[in-house]
Amino acid sequence: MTSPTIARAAPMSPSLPDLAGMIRRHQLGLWRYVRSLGAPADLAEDVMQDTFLVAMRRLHEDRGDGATAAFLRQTARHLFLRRRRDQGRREELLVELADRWWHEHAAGDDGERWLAALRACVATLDGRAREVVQRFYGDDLDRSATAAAMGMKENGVKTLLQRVRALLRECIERRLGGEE
Amino acid sequence: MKGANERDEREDEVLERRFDWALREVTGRERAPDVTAVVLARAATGETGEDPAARWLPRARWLAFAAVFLLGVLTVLGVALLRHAPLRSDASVDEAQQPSAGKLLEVASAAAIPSLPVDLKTVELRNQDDAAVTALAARCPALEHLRIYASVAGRRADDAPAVSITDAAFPAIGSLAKLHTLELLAVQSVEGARMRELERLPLLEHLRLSYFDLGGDQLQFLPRLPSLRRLTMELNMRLDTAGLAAIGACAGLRDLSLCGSHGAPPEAWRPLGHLQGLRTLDLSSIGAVHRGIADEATRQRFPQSIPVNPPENRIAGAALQDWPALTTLRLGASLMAPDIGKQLRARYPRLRELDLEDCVDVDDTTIAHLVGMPSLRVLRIRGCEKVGEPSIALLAASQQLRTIDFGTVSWGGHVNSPWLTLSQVETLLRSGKRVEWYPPEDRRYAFAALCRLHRQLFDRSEQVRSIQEIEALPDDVTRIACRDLGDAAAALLSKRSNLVALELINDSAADRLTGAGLAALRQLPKLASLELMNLRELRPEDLGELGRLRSLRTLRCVNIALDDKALAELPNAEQLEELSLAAIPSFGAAGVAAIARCAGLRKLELAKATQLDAEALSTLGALRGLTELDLSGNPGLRDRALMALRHCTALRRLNGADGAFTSMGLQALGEMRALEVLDLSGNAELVPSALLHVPVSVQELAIDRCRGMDANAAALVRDRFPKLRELRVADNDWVTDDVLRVLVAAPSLQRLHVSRCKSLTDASFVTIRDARNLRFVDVNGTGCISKEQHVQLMGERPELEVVRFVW
Repeated sequence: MTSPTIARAAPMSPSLPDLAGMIRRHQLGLWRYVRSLGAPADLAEDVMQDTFLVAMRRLHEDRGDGATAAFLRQTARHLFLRRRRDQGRREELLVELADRWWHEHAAGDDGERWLAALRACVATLDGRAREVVQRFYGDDLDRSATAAAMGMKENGVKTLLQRVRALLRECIERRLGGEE
Repeated sequence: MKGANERDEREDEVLERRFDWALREVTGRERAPDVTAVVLARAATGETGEDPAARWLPRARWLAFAAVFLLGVLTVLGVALLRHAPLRSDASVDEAQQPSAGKLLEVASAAAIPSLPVDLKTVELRNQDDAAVTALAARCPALEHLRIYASVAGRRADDAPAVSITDAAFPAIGSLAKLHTLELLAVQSVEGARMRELERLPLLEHLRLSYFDLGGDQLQFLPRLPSLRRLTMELNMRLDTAGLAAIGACAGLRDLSLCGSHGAPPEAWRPLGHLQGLRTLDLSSIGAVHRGIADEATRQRFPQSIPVNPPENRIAGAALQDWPALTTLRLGASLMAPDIGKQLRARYPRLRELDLEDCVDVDDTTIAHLVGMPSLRVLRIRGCEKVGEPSIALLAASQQLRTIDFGTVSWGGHVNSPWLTLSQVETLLRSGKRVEWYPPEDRRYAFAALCRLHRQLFDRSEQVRSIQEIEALPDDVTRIACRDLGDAAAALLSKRSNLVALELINDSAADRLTGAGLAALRQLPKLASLELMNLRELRPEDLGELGRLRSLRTLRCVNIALDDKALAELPNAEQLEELSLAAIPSFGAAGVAAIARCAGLRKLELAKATQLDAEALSTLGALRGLTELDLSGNPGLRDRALMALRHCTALRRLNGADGAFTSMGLQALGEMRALEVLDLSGNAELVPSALLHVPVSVQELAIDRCRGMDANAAALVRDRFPKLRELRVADNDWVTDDVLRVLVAAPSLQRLHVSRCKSLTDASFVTIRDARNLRFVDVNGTGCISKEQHVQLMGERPELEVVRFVW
């Protein structure tokens, strides 16, 4: 069997320079989207690569950035769900919810406004709330290492993280004027 | 209702996923990768992006395999053992099922091997065959840690069908001359004919042969592994007398686990008595479990029926040998008689952790012996049904015991120590013991609440006074307090990579702490808290190392030679949030300026730094993130220094006791709206109007020994601070019976200190008795409550604690 070649792909897809431009314009938003669906970083990167490859083959005309971004998200979501299909209907529901949220709150600006609100809210945290965010998310410690570092039990860290997330969510809602 | 709960759960999970991305981005942990180059490269090779789907089709075949596997399983107990194992602190079979949690690079496709870095040190081959091992050995000859795993049990959702290497892979493994850890897990097609290839591994320290089966004939290579220190052989269904003899000939072994293996009669264990350096021994569930077998070919090596575990193969007291250095012994599900406590106490003087789970004959007499073991810190007695109320008192009275485990199994309908009552748990918690327990449902909530109440006890450090004690500490100890130890201890401690908190208090002539010791501590990636006290040989230039402890969040130094130059390095410790310097006269204004550059500081204690003047202290105003500041006992704390703090509006606690500022200086507090605790004691300059500058948010206020105040202060205190819960006005002659009447009318006041207020008379007794909000009052050194009145108060106001006389 012969390998597919660039020449074979080229007539029905953006040229490689066009593809490069498209990737550069959309990869940040796509990355955030796939991560927010629940893909771990390594899987998100795989999905993102595959998404652009699919786009190269299937996007036949330039429909503008908004439409391209929507196509990429739809493709990425599809690819992600394929990787997760063994996890059943529940995973689909979770992805559906995450997708809906992205569409309503983040699609227009790749989540920048929401992230800005989050940054401001994180800055208001102090004490253990701030510490747990830094250690768990910033230092990428797992729950047990975070617990050890903070002198807490693992379940305590879990509860604290839940509270912090709820706090941040409320804070973001306030900052965005109840849009969240 | 159920639907609403499910919806909430889903929303929580979506939120968790969103924050998992967003907070990693916000904290700078992660950023979007630039995939441009890699996508273009893949496009150039003709990839379409939809190929991955094809990779997932074999999963359907796995389902068929799984069905066959299930039919072949003799019992699920082996798997149960795997699930139970993570409760242990050392490596466990379960670890293999979640390799991504560790640092091993997982390789699940042979196609990835040619692109691995040639200098790769650690890798897990997952479901790969002999050819993959050969390719890996050729590609990565510098491997130091290799795990080869076949997912015959506990497989992950994304696992391909299990593939096992065979004996043919061993020449390649034997060629990895730098290997120090080799884990072969569930590779059930290995029959052991070429295990001798491992003798070519001169550096191999840890060998794990788990979840597959090797008998004595195949294990004869073990004594010829020159560096072997740790041998883990769980769930080996062919372990026999000859195998034990081979293990017993491994003179250098320090750590041995045979958990869940087949076992042999007691006399067969005698060769293990040669292992005089053994520190950790796991003999749990020997001869007591079976496990499933993966495929037909492997199954052929076993009898068709369920293999019989002869009762004499269970571990009993007679199987135990003298291991003088033993610190951890696991005897779960063994046939220990009640008198085993006496035997263990006599034979293992250094034992720190003992697991007797599911030893059904162990009883209160056993516990009575065990609590007499001076070295014992952790005792696990889940499933010891004959242990009861008498043991609780014994365990509570034990001074050395730290942790008692009554069972934490939370799956499969297990009920852990159902006899244990909350009252008994509280007895143990009160005595300072950590209780590990996943209780029956009816006690779960209350148990959690009790643990929260006593949580501070769990954070205690392990105190050590010798190198030997450090060596004996289990790996999971994260907080260590050293006394009279120095560089030698630091060198040992630097290898404990999970160390979170360390105290080095006093060194000794035999072991001084110097810069070399501090430099060694740099190797501790998680060291978050360090306390250095009374270390005579530490020179100022050595202390520059402190700035290189990048993970440090808390630093406390007492009576060491810290100078300006050493402090100049401190801003390099970017994680530093809490700093306490006490009894250190050797630094000056430049040192304080360096502290002021530690932008992440949240808590700072510079009490009694009498060498600092107002100019020096004023630089601290740059620390605007401070939430707690202690400048007590500083004569340099004058108005100029205090005013410089006016922008530190995040302060919640401020201690300015014995400062030399005036009421004017307190204007600095005007914007500190988060201030909750304020100490202005010992300042004769302050007059009542000074309180007008104190934020109304204050909940605890101390104005002891403020002789410039007068009765007018009382009304201000009462009316200005609606949240005031605790007030200290001790040692003030202006506090009279009338003043006290005004003070106790403060709406939120619960705790009041009026000790040594000489103007108070017994007329105040009625005032105190009728102050219904009060929960605590200190009247020591006053005449306002007589002994008889105290007795009367205890009857009338049992909730009110009165201190009226201190020895």
